[in-house]
Amino acid sequence: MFNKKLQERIEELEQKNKCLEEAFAELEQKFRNLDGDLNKDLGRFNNTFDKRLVEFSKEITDKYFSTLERILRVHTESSLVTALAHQVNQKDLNNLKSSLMQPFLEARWENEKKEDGKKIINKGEKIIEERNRLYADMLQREKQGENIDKIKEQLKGFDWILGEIK
Amino acid sequence: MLIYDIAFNGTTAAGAYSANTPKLVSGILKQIIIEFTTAGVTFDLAITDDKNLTVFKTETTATSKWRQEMNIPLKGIHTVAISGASANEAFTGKLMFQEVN
Repeated sequence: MFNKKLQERIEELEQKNKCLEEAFAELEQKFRNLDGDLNKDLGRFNNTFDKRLVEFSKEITDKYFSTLERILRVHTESSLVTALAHQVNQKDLNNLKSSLMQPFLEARWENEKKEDGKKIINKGEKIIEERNRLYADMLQREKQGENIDKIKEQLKGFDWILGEIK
Repeated sequence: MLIYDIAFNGTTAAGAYSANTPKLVSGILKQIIIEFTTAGVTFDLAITDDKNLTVFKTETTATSKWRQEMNIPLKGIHTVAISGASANEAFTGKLMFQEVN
């Protein structure tokens, strides 16, 4: 009786053991598969990363050389100017500087003149009013026997401006 | 009797024009003539003395060609002024004076 039960128990355990072995084998297979997939993904990731790294490196190198070229060009020009500066006297150097500045200054003055011109046009009404006021003042002063030569000269200026505008 | 005229020509601006006479010593204003080149221009005329007193003013608005006779003694510099002109136009005119001793 006891042996039979023992035998049954042993068979049961063997059965379970067999199940466990199968389960283990299955797990092992799954692990092997996973490993393979992981390696493939890692490989793809490495390729992409390497490609991006190479592109980035090229970009940085190009920028580096472009900046270096600009620095060298400016350095050459400034060295040239310095060399020239040592060979000319101060007066000629000042003349050189002012002749180099001349186009910029002239452009600036031209712009200022245009801006001032616009302001004059905007104040046209006031100019007309002032001219009329001055004229009435001149008539009054002349009647009083005062000298009006100065006012006449001022009026000439106003009339010229108004003549040009009209 | 000495008769002389003072020319009064110009172009109105903003409907007005004014000018001074020379210094009048002893003259009587006998006649004023104003003629605008364009017909139909209406205007007023006034004469003021050196103290800004109005010695003459048109009673009614004048039109284009205007002429008036008068007997006004004037002394010193006077301002002859056109005002309220209905157009900015050129005009010619004169003031006729009789000088008295």
